[in-house]
Amino acid sequence: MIKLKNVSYTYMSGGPFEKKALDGVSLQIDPGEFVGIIGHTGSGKSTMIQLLNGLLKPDGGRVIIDSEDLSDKKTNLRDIRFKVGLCMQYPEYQLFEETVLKDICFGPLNMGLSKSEAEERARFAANMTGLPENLLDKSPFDLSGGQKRRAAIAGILAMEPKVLILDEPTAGLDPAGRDEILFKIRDMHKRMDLTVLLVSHSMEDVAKLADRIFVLNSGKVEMSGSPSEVFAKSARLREIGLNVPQITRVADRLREAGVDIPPGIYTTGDAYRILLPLLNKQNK
Amino acid sequence: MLKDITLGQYFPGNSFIHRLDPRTKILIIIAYVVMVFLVQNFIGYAALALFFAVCTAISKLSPKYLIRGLKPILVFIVFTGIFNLFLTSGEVIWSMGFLKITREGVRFAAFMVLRLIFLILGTSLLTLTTSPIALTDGMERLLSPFKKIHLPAHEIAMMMTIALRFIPTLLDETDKIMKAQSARGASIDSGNIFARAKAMVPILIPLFISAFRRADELATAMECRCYRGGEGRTRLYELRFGRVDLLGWVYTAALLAVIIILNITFGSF
Amino acid sequence: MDNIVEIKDLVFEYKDEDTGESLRVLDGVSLHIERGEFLAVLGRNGSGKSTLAKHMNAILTPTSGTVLVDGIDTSDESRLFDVRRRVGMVFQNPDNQMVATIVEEDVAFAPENLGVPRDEIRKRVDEALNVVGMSAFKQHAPHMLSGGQKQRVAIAGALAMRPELLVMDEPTAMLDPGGRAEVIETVKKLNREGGMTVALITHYMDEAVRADRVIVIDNGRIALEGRPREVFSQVEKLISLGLDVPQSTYLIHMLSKKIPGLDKTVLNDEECAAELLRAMGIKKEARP
Repeated sequence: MIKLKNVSYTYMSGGPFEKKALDGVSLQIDPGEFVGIIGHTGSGKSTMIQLLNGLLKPDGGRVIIDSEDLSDKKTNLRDIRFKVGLCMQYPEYQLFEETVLKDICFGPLNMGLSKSEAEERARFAANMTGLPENLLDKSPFDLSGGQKRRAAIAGILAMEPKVLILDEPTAGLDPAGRDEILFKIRDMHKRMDLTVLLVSHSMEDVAKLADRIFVLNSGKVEMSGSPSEVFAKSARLREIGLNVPQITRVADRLREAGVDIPPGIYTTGDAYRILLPLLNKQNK
Repeated sequence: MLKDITLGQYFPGNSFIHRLDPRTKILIIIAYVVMVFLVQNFIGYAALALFFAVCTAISKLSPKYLIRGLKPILVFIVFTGIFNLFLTSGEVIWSMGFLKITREGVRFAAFMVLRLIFLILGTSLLTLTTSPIALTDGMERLLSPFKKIHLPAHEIAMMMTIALRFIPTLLDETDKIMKAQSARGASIDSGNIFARAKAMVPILIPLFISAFRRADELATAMECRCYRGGEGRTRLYELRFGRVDLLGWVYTAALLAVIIILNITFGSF
Repeated sequence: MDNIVEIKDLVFEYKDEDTGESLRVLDGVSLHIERGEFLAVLGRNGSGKSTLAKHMNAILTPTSGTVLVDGIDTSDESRLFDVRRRVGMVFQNPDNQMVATIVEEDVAFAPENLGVPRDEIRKRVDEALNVVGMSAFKQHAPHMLSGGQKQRVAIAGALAMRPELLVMDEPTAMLDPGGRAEVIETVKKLNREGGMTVALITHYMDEAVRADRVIVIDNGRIALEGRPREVFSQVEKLISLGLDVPQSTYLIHMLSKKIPGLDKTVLNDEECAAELLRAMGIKKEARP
């Protein structure tokens, strides 16, 4: 379980360039949840995820992972990092080993696992991310962009964390590559009983996967709730510089014109199910 | 953590010092360095200090930035002072056990410390009031007469510009890679020297690969913008000597004369 | 002549250094770009779209076939710089295309290379920064800018050559939504108001929707070509090519399987809502 209690973080504290990145954030994420975190650049979302695995330490408030307070001196931050796997933006830049397999083993070996255990985990993780077996002996630098991304995610997954945090995992991928990765992430969440935090600019991506969404704005939690609760507040989302899925905008327009359509539509599937009977009625 | 490093930090301004042609500034700094070593007595240093104080005042720069420049080498300055204080032979004026201080030692230590401080202050003033690009430009122009002996003045300047341009980018990147590897349990700041050196591998390899990729992309981008070496290039800012430069020269020459006169009059003590 | 670029039967191959195999990236592409046009080139990663872009200013030259830029054959080495200064290029990574440590010096880089006189450089730099709305930042260091701002500076750097064509190779792939919007608005304005010919290479369909013409590259060939409406109404084909269609287009496409008479060429939320309202018999302003 992840708990943030009134957490604040300030960059370059005290200097002329002081910037408050997080300002009194409190939230709780339960085991097994799939959470989407959205917010524009500078909203504090990347600061927040770095606080969650102890890469940054809060100036105020408490970050608690499974009843361990990260500010507590007794807490071993390395153990926390194995528990809360963080996959940073453009993670392919972390690849460094001779082979893909060795690279994926880096995390597990740091945990103190034996070579054979690490390799077993690495193979499993590679499989989960959809990386073909025959690529494992290749140099990570010979892979395609999408494959590198998977290898990097596998490197985190192989540590078998309880929580997986992904920062913009689809950035720079083409639509097919994006869909494949998202599909795999959903698969991991289900099969490995993972808590997943997906940080993204793309409302469509988050809408497709998350059970619950946190919207960050200027270092605070602006709103939270199920996708349909959040996207029902599309006017406010746009006010704070975020977009809503195109299909939500279509539904909003229809509702404004007097069509009986509930707020918070965010997938084409939902829109289809609601609109088809309305259109059929007209046709008869 | 790496963002605290400031390299060639420049404070824009429009003072007399800022407006000096970078070539003038580079040559004045060379003259200044020569003078720092030429000075043989404390009156000479007083003159130098006065010169420097006037320059700082004209530049409208807060002295705290200059003093901040001394911080990183403070240990070195102190070490130099102590080393010279205790290890110079001569007339002993104080001793305790095997430690002894000589009259010459005091004088020599003071001189060395002053020299270091003056050197750092001078070069700090130069980089604080001159944009890196103006500096490289000035360097290129000063070196260009040596093209005849096949010194690649333009290439050297271009390399320096690109290095300056990419230092912040690569520092950012190092920070990111360090975080990414820490997230995989790499322990960068613990263990003995050997363990730490080994822990650098997962950081250095990605950094080098990224730097090569950046260099490759930058080369293509430069080609696209019709780069073909220094031949036939014009500049947005052509360097031109003006009145301020003349004043700068006169001022420096005057100081040089003063120091030589002081040396002759007072000798070294 | 009305075409700034004429590409005929362009084939590009390179040798894989490990296997020695010859790999064909472009396989007989014929294409022309009209002056003043806004062309979008769509395609999945590895489709050959970036390779095509690099042929437009002689960074790459054809294995066979010809590429003419403003009538000049790009294979003619003696005219290399005549080609390059006619084509401004903007690439994906905003950090890797800036040379100087100050914005205006960077914008001046191309005219400096071309030996443009000093006063003229000043004029071009000021104009270019003004057009992309970055004049206020001319003394800034590039690394202090946001991604969108960096890309606008890169556009200004290309414009300072006074090019006839602006080729942009996935200029928004590394930007956040705000940065993407900034860049696309800038490009749109350049095209509409400045009459600049633009070739935008992208895999974002919402950017391609705003072009005059779209081509889709797949496996080194042109797989689809036409106005955005024509191209995006081919939903199944696009999906099979690994591309997206706008959610609006997709919704109408799905609905039209059950409901006859829907206009399948809608491209955005506004058009989609209007079309649905029409089909439901609710009167609102008609689609233009």
